Amino acid sequence: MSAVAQGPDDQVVGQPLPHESAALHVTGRALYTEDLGSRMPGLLHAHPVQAPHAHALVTRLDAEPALSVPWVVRVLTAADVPGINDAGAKGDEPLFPDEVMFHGQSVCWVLAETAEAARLGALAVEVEYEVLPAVVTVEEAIDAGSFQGGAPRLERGDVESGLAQAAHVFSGVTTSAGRSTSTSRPTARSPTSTRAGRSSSRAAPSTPARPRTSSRTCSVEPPTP
Amino acid sequence: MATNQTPRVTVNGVIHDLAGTDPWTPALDWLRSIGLTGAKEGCAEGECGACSVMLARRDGDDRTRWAAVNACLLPASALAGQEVVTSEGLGSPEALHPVQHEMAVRGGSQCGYCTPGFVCSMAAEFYRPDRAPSPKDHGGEVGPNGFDLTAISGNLCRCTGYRPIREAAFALGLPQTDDALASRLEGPGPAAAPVVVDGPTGSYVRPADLDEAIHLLQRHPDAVVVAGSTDWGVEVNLRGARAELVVGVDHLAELRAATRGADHLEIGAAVTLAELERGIAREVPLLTAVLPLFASPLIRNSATIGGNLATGSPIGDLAPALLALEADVVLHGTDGQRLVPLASFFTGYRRSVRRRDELIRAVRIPLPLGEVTGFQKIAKRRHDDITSVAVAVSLHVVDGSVQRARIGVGGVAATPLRATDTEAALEGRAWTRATAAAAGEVLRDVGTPIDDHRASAAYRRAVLATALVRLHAQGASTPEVTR
Repeated sequence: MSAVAQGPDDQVVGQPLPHESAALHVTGRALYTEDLGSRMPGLLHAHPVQAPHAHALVTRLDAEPALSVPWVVRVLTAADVPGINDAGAKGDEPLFPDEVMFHGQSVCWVLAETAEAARLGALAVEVEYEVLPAVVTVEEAIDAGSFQGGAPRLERGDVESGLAQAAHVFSGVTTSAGRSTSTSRPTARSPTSTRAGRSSSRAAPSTPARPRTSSRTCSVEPPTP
Repeated sequence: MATNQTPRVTVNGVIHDLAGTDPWTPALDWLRSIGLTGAKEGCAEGECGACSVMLARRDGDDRTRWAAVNACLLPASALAGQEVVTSEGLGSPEALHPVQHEMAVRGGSQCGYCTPGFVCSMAAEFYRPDRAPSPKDHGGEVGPNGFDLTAISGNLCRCTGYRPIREAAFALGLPQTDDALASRLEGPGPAAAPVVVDGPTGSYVRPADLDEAIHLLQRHPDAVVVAGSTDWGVEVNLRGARAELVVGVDHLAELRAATRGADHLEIGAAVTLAELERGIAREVPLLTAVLPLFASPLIRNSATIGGNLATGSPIGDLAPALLALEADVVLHGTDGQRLVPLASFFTGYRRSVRRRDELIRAVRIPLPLGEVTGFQKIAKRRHDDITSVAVAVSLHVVDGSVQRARIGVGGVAATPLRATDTEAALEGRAWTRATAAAAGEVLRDVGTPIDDHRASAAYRRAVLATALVRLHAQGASTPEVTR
C-alpha cells in the first residue's frame, strides 16, 4: 500500500463524521421555526387568504367579518405596510397584491391566537375579484408569445439546407406532463408573527398548497425573539 | 353508549390524557402540542412521511408488531388506549437508537426535516418480527440484513439522494436482547376498549360493537366514519373538513375477521391493507399484485379494505381488482345485512349505495379464482403515488380458451368500472396475443377518461389499449408498474 493510500494518522477522508446537527435530527430534537409554535407562549398564528384565480384584480377586500371570529386578533393588509409593499428585499412580488398573478396567491393574512381561529378567520374575509385573462399552459404561452426569459432555440450549421437535402424528414411534437418530485418542501410556509407584530422567520414562496402557520428553515437554533 | 373512561394514550412510555381533543385534530398536531415536535408536517396528506410515528399493533392474540403510520392523517383521539413511539422516544443524542446511530454516522440527514419520519419507518422495519439476514439478492430492494427498502417508500427526502439512507438501513443489525421495544413484541398488543373523547367542537367515539356503531349512525346522520382515516385526514388537513361526531370503526371485532368459506373468502372491512398483504391476500394472486403498489406502507398500515371502497375514489387501486374478482360488499344496517355486487356498489363520484346508517362489514371474493390474473398500475412513480390508470384482469381459461373474463378499470370515469364490452370480446376466444390485441382496442374506448395533471385522456386510452397484450406477454400474474 502506498503512503498516500495509507493516509495520515488523523485522516478524515473515509471516516464517518456525523455533521453537527445529525444527532439532533435523528432524535427529533432539532428545532425548526415551525416547532416554536408549541414552545413559545404568546405566539400568534397566521393564515393567508388565497386567491382562487390565476390572474385577477382585487376589487374589494373586507377584513371586518374575520375580526368577529373568536380569537382572531387582526388582519394584515396592504394598509399595514409602512414602506414598499414588497414580499422580498428588492423588486419581489407584492406582499399584499392588488393584482393576483397566480392561483393561490395570498392577498391578506389573518392573525389569531390559535391556528384554527386563523383558518376560520381567513374563511370569513370577503374578497371580490375582477378576473383577467391568464396564460396557464405551454400551448397558450406559445400562442400568446409569452415566454419566461425569451424563446430559446437550438441549432447548429445550416439547418434549412440540411433538412432540404435529407433523405427523410421526421417532425413531431413531444410533450411532458408535470412531475411531482416531492411534497415535502412545496408546502407553503408563511411567516410566524409575534405579538409585537414582528416577523420571526423568512417567508417561503407561496404555493396553492395548504398554507400553514409558520416557516421552517434548516437552522437548529431558534431565532432570537 | 361507549364507556366514559378517561381517554389516555401512552407516548414514549409516558401516559397522556386525550380529554379535550377535537375529533378532527390530527395525531401529529396533538403530539406537537405536547412538545414532541420531532414528527413534522411536510405535505399534510400522507405522501411525504415526515410525520411518521410508530404504533404498537396487535399481531394475533398474544403478540405485538410496531407499525409506522402517518400521524398527520390519524385523529389523535383514535390513539386512545394505544402506544405510540416517536423519534424522541427511540433514543436521545446521548444514547442513540441503532437506527438513529446509523442514520447519523452515514450522512442520512441533511436538512433533517424528513429525518424523524424516516427514523420511525426504519425502526418499524428494524423490529419486523420476520426480518432475517439473507444472502439472497432481491434486486437491491432488500439488504443482506433483511431490511426491505419498501418500508421507507412512503418517506420522501429532498436532500440526501437516498443513498446514505439506504446504506444506514442495510447496516442495521438485529435488535439486542435487552431492547425494550423488541421485548414489547413478545406480549399482546394494546386492546381497543370503547371510548369517548369529547373536545370543544365535537366528539370521537369508538363504539363497543357493530350494533352500537349502527345505532350511532342512525341517531347522527352527519357522523363521519373513519377506520384508518387516511382519506378523511386529507379532507381535514387540505379542505378544512370538520365533524361534530367521528365514529372510529377500525377496532370493531365484527369487521376484523378474515375467513375462508367453501365458495368464497370473506375479508372484514377493518382489516388493514398491510394485514391483508401479510394474510389472506397471499391466496389471491391479483391482490398480491395490487397491494405492494397501493400507496405506501405507512398508508397500508392504517387504510382498510372497507374504507377504500366506502370512500368511493374513482381510482382506488383495490376497487378495479375487486371488480375483476367479482367481489360482493356486505353491508350491515339496522335491518341486518345485504349483499351488493361491487359492480353495482358505486353510483357516482365518491358515492355508493351504502346508506348513511350502514357500514361495510366485509368484502366477499367468490371462489374459484381465475387462472390468469394481472394488475397494471400506470403512475408517475412506482410507489407512493396515485394511479393514472389501473387495469385488473381475471380470466378463467380452460383448454386455452377464455371461458369467463372480468376486467376492472380505475381512473377512466367518475367511478371504478367493469369493462363489460372488453370482457365480451375475450370470452369464447382462444387466449392469444391476437385476441388480447383485438380486445385491447375495445378496452381503449372504456369509460370517459379526462385530461388532468396525472395524464392526458389520450395517454390513458393508449395504455388501456396495450394492457391486455402486456398481460398476455407476462403469461403470469406478476405486478407491473409503468412509469
